[in-house]
Amino acid sequence: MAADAGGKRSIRSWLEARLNLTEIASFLSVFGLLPAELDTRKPLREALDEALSRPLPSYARWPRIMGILSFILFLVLAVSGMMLAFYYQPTASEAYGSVTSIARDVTGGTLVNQVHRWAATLLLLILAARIVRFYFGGMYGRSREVIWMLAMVTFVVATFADLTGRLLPWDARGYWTTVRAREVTDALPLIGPLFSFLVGGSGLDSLVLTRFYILHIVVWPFLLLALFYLHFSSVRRVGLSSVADGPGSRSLRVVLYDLLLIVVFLIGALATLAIFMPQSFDVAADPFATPPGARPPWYLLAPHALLESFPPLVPRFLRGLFLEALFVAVLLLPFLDRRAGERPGRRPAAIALGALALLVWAALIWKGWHLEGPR
Amino acid sequence: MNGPETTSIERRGVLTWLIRGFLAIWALGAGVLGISFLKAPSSEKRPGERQLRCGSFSTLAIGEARLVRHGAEPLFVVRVSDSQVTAVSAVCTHLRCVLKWDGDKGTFQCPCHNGAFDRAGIVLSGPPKKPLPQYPAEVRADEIIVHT
Ligand code: HEM
Ligand code: FES
Repeated sequence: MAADAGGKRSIRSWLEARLNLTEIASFLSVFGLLPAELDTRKPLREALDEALSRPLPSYARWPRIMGILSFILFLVLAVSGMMLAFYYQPTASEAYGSVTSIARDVTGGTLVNQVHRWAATLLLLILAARIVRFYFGGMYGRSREVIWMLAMVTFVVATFADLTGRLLPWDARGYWTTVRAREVTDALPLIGPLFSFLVGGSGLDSLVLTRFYILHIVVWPFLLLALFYLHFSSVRRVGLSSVADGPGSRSLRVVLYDLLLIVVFLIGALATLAIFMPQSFDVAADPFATPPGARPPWYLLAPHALLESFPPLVPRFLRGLFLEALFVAVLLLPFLDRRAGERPGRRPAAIALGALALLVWAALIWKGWHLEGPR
Repeated sequence: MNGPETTSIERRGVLTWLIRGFLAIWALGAGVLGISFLKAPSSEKRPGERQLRCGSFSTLAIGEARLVRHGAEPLFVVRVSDSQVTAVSAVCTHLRCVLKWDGDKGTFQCPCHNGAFDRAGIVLSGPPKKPLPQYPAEVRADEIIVHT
């Protein structure tokens, strides 16, 4: 059809007759690149024109950039991670040698490694900040329940991705961080045994390292991709949050311009952090000597502190159960708090509770840090 | 009116149930197979392999302990007397740090939260609650053998 239009022949119309370009564009836009739906039965140009004739919501603009920012960071992680995987060897005897060789011998190896590390840190921070913003903005009300729960689950899966990544270099810090982190996960009923089953044991040996690797490069990334997909599809169904509504309509050009601005800013930030604040490897791990100051990663400091602050009589699985109950309560928040969606001024109790929770969490992080000696 | 349609529908009903049955069985089988495949082979060792050789007995002074660098559960061998040797786990029962032998005090010290254990693995101080697990140990031709 399109190919015959006016007898004009262009590459696009040639392809259009053989591939559903609109469907491909629509798939890409599913990951938050275009805040509008495309009619996949129409040729690309027509579908785009139609989608753009409707006003676009203010998109990819502060403060609504966290979703798209986290997805771009995920892409950065996937690309840099695949590059690292060209050299990395997932066995206890080879791992440390291979990562130090990436940093020492491979051109740009340090940069790729540091970008991967910093992108992981930023991803977790942004996913956490997004949950905080959803909460204080009351953006978990009617028909946004799924978005809230997806945000929670995405954060947890991302922490698992980060956790499995930290063991891979098999350096002392990564190794003992993982030992500490597993003390926390082992306390969780159901999740602890499941995780131990998945990684093939409760110790840290070569088999466990290889399984951490597979979880790290295949399982968690695919899960994250699926979660992002669900998140954006839910946003396109229920619309962007109306709470922080900015100026109304925009053209596609403006939206793309905003996106490019974000990418430029992000890559600048990543490169700056990677070059000026490198987080270098520790010495090779020695499973028979614990270095001072071994502590869980930052996102597990508060759960660690909570687990350790129960009176000694309380068995560990009960403490873990308490943690899990807390998580489930927050996960189901949209069904517990029916006043969400109202302006912050109209829900002072929820705002006060949230602020208190943040304070307690911060105090627990402080405590978790000081449970262990200096590094 | 029981025409040919009814029988073919009936037959199709049977076929549908058969297909569902097969799919259910296969799904179950695939699930069981998948889970048992993921279950890591147990590291349970044959009797001969459970004997860990922990070095010479005579070079270990009386009252001294030596760290045996072994697998996920490192252990200490302690020479308690002229002829006797004991073995305790070297993993702190608090949060799994590997203990250090302090020869001056004759105790096991934890580098993490200052837990301390005596030669027999009894908690002396610090956060640990449980004593260190013991392993049977013996001396054979000047070699310390620990049964793990
Ligand atoms: C397709 C996706 C990914 C691949 C192929 C991948 C691959 C790798 C590889 C091969 C390593 C070991 C090399 C090294 O340590 O330098 C590594 C380390 C790491 N990864 Fe990933 N990764 C992916 C996604 C992620 C994600 C989503 C996160 C976090 C949210 C993450 C966080 C980390 C961390 C923290 C390290 C440790 C880096 C270090 O200690 O230097 N990765 N990754
Ligand atoms: S791990 Fe030994 S005292 Fe805490």
